[in-house]
Amino acid sequence: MNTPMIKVIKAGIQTSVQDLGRNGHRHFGVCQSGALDVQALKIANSLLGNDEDFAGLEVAAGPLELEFQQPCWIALTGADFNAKIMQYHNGDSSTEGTSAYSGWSYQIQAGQRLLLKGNANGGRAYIAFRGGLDIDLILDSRATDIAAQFGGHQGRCLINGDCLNILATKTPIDLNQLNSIGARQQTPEHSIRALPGPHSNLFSATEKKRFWHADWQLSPASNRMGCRLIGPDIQVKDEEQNLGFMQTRRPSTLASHGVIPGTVQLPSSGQAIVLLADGQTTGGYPIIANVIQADLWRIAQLGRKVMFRFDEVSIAEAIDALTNQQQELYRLQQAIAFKLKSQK
Amino acid sequence: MDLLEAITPILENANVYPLAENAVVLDIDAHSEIETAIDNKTNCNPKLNNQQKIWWLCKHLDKSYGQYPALMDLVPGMNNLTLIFNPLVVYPSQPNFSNTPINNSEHQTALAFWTEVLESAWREVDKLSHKTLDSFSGDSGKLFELPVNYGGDAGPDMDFVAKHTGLSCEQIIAAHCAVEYAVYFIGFQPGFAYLQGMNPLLVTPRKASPQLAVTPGSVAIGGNQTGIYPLASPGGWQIIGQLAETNNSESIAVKRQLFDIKRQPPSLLKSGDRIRFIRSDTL
Repeated sequence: MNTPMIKVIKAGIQTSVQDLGRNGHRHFGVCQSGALDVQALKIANSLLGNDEDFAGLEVAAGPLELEFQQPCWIALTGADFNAKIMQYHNGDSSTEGTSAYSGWSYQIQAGQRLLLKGNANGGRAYIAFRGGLDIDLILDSRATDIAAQFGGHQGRCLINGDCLNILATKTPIDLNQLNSIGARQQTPEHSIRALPGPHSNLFSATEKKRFWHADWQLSPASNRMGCRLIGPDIQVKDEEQNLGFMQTRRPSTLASHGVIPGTVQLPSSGQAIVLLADGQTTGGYPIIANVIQADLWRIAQLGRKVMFRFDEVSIAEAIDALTNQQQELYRLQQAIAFKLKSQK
Repeated sequence: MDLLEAITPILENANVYPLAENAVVLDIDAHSEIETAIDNKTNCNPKLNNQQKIWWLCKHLDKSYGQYPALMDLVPGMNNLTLIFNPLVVYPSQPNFSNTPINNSEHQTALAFWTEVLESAWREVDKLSHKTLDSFSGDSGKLFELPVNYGGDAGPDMDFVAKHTGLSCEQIIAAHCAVEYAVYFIGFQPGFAYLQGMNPLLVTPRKASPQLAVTPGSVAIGGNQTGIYPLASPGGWQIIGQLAETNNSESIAVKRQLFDIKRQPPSLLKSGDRIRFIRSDTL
């Protein structure tokens, strides 16, 4: 087929192709990438009968407008971006349109447009496409590494005029006769569970208390690499001998060590940063806490003006939370698969 | 039961501790460097010995466990190693590492499993002699000779470094080229090598605020470290030169080649490699 499947009319802000990210390349400095709200992308794919790791779009802010040249099934998840499916006639899109909601799959006809207006409260929306986006695998993933400029669509966020294609699917489910189906998603929460970090002994009891008891907010300077937090200044203890590590530069800088999505580090400025999927692979700032894997999506979906707290948990609780999350997702995926089969 | 306490047995010269539910860290004791220096007066670089142990660990863990889907990443740092794994995979029994029994219990959590893997690997490497470690890195470490255009437009911060160090540009270049640097590890961004071995006379503080876009291939000094920026990125180090492109086909000093996703592996440099800078006008 020569005609592209999808034309990007309005690219939105920081709209990128993402899947579940890449692993095994951190020793070359290559970060994980992938959807910040992994659950949302997995559910969106499941609603279409896709494998859960197919590539879709992560949208940080609207308006995003896509024009479909051919019929296609899509699913929306994550933050509700006031989406509409619209007919388009002679350069003038009908304002009528049909609303499309997060957590549902929709069939889009050739010539129709999908508009994601955005969400004033923030958060991220995900769009999955039946068959998945046709993107070259780079280092085992289709995710965009925005900083290193590879992966995804030409190694960057989408811009107006981009064209995207969808992979043909050979799975037996025939979606032509289907109705839209929906799935219940996790509700965003304002408490973020975290483990005490390995360097928490560098902070005085008072500073630790400030960290765990403070109300925090995301700074507008946040991106996929990390969230800068607005809240109290947290400083390491002055005594240099407390650093039980090879000291390199400043008292608050340690020998560079591996960091992961969820790591809460404290640069000497005292302003905490939570590293996310595009975060660097090694860092030298003290780690006061690590957000548990099960709650990483909550950070991605925190609203702009929302106040939140860190809730200290144990490793056993972190593993329980992840197990529960995986089991719930699995049950949901089984239910969706059954629904898709029974509609045939 | 608090897992944090349950999995911290005594280990000599290193600490193994969880970073999170999906990552465990091995950190070589800082004081063991001093002991090494006393033990082996002929070795002028005790820190390198510790880093050689990290390289050894990476290689052997990758060999023994690299095929495990649950092992997601092995990340070497400065005298430390972070192992990232899937925390939900529980192992029915232990695979062997150097014929050392790992655990007698029937099953264990992923964190306990990987902690024990790191600990038993450390016990192996800690027994190795300095000679064995030296030959290990000597065998695997490739020497790269990288031509550099120093100063002028290629090194806009050369004057700042000269002013700060009190050295002339010629002296800076000579000192920067005189040393064979060890690639400690790759981190921070794709293909960025943490180099060890810079002459302390060249130590220059970073810029107060990072430059927004550093040209790929920039050779720079930041504090007591020197390095090459592989990608266009913000950077706070003082730029003293640019990797030069030469006609010499043996030379790999084509800027974009430091990190190339079309190559396997994509990073030109890897931990354990060695680098020597050569001033391009002498070629």
